Amino acid sequence: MKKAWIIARKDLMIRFRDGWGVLFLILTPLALTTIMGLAFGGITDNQAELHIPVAIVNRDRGLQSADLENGTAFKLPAALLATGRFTATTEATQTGFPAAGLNFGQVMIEQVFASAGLQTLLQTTVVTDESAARRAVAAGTTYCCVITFPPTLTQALVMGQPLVIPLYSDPARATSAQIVESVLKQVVGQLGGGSALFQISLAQLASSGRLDQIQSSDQLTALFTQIGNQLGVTNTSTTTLGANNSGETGAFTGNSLLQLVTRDVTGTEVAFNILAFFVPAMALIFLGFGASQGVRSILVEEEMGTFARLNAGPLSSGAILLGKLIGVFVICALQFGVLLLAGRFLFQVQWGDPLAVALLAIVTVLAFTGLGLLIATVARDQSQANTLATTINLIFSLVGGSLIPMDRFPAWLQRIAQLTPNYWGMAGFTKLAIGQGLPALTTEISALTIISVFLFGVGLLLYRRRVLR
Amino acid sequence: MSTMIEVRNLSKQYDPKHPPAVDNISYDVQAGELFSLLGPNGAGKSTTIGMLCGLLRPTSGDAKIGPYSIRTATLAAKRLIGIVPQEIALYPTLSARQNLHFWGQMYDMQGKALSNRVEEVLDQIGLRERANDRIDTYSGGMKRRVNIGAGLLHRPQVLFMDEPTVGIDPQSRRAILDMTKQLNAEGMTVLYTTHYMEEAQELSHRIGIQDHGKLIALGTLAELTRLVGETDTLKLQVSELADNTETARLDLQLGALPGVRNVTRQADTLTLLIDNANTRLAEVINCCSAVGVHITAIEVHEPNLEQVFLHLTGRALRD
Repeated sequence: MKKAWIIARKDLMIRFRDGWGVLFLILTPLALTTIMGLAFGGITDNQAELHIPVAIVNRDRGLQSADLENGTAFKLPAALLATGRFTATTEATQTGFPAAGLNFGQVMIEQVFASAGLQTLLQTTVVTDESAARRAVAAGTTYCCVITFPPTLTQALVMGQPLVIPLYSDPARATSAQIVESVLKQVVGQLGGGSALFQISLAQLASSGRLDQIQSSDQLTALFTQIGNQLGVTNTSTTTLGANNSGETGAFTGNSLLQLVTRDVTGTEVAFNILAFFVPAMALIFLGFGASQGVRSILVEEEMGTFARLNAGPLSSGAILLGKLIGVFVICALQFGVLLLAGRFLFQVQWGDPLAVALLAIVTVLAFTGLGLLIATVARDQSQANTLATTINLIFSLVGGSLIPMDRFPAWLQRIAQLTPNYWGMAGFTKLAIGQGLPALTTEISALTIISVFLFGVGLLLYRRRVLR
Repeated sequence: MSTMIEVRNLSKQYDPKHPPAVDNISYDVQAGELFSLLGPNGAGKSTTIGMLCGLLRPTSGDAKIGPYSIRTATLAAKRLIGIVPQEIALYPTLSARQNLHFWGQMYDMQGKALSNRVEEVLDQIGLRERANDRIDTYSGGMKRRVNIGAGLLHRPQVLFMDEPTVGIDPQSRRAILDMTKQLNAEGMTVLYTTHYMEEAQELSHRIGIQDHGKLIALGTLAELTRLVGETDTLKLQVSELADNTETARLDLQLGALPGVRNVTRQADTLTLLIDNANTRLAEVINCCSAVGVHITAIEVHEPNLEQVFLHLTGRALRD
């Protein structure tokens, strides 16, 4: 064991003498993350300020009186009509909820996209000329995306009908487009959820017999208003959207949307920082390269002849490998730790529980060290190891969500991604960044431990075969 | 004298489809002996050393370093040996002193004893003044000296030197040969591999000649040269021959001369193994003139290892 430490210390000394190596390992990812931080809203605010320019075309014709009067255009939910007490043109529906004049497109523009929280992310402009806006996107000027609310937006939301909202974006600004799409998905998701709740509430009222007790249109109006209030939806003129403001991830508040308000383990409300994605993403990518490069030093030593000289000495091949791996682990842990600390102090990313961060970081670094060992023992020589490491790390970074958020991938690819340490690393650090603690990381830590055991197991077998020729 | 290295039926076959790299060799090296393994590149010398150092697992056979089997008591055997590999097996970005310190620690040396020994070895290899310079700033010869120094730190009983003079200048080569003799004079058993017959001749008490993995001859220089008898080596540097027919004709005619045992050609040099070369020189010159070949230089060599190798294999040592 003592000799393993001596080998590790020697490797560290050699590594830190290599100025370019240290630069690559620590400063490059730090610099890249800083650039990302600056590009996505500065490095001093908790919340990213992107101001992505977005054009909104509102074609939503809202809910018209005619819709309410016309049974074919707007039908009360089947459960309500099934009671036989109301018709599609009942007076109550015109004064309660849903009400004529309701326009969710307008609501979204005035209440959601204009909210303080979203304005830090998106800089929205309402336009009427959709073609001109699309041309601007295609030309790469003025707007990054065009969102078009379709004429049936409100009707579809109220009736729980399928809805398509076209998002026209510039492929060259894919990240911005992704963010806009993500915002839009959440807005529509919340509205759709409200709509579904409305439908379910009515069905439950009907089945509970409460609808039978309603004898007048006033009572019906009051009931609808009550449902609307509970769902956070009131009459058009004062519509605000807000519900279930419990602070859970993804809760939709009237003030902010993408600021995914959550609570950390101490109960303090924290805001999701977009750099909480970039910091671990960059750290994991460079961790992959760092670990591969580190373990590849076995091949370097093989070619220099020092590995044979070590093996000719009175120490076991296991002690030599242990020494090499300790060196790699320390360097990688240092690199990863510096990047996480930079995330915390330069970019104000809240990682939360230090014990959880440390445990997750340790198993992540172990998994990548194991991956490096496997690559080094499979490769014939340094050159092959370089190619293999670059290929595997790029694929793992891509598939594992370090380069592109996982939700962009089809389900089958997301399942494959679970084989990579990048996936579980990203998942774990995202959980930490949104305030979850150690208990929530059980799956990630277990998965990374299993991956580590597998990679080390196979790596050790191959190493043994390689050494004992 | 006690036996320090005992090799018994040692074989190594990397690939069953190819002939063994080392094929059933056996010999003993006595304590305090300087034993050379001579052979061309690919003869299996480094593979033999690799097995004796515990780096390669023998396919069959065994060897002992002192009382320890390389198969069953590998670590104990390794403690007795020092190795000077063919490559410069040092860390180029560390200084000579740091390298020696590290390799000493690998042999369980530590503290003041290690520091003192490092300084002694630096003196021995003549690099104390530059001990704090990085290895990658050294000349080839200086690197070779540190490479040897790293093998000496723990005062091994046996030193394996695998072609330690490859690719260095004559001055450094001389220094290494002198150092090797000095170490042996101090009582260290040395197993030295080389493909330079001059080195084997100069250094060795006994020489083993290895070719295609087999040990084809073993003995002192005198014993080995007796294998060739009174045969001399005659080297003729000749003008370029016109064509292959002419070359073949010359070879045939020279081979037919009385006393000529073998004729080989390398570029414009003809090598003849011939009995009593001096008395037959005129016939050889006449033969060349008869086929129109102009001789530009003649060398006569008395029996040596080169001839022994040629005699045993039909090939020159550097073929």
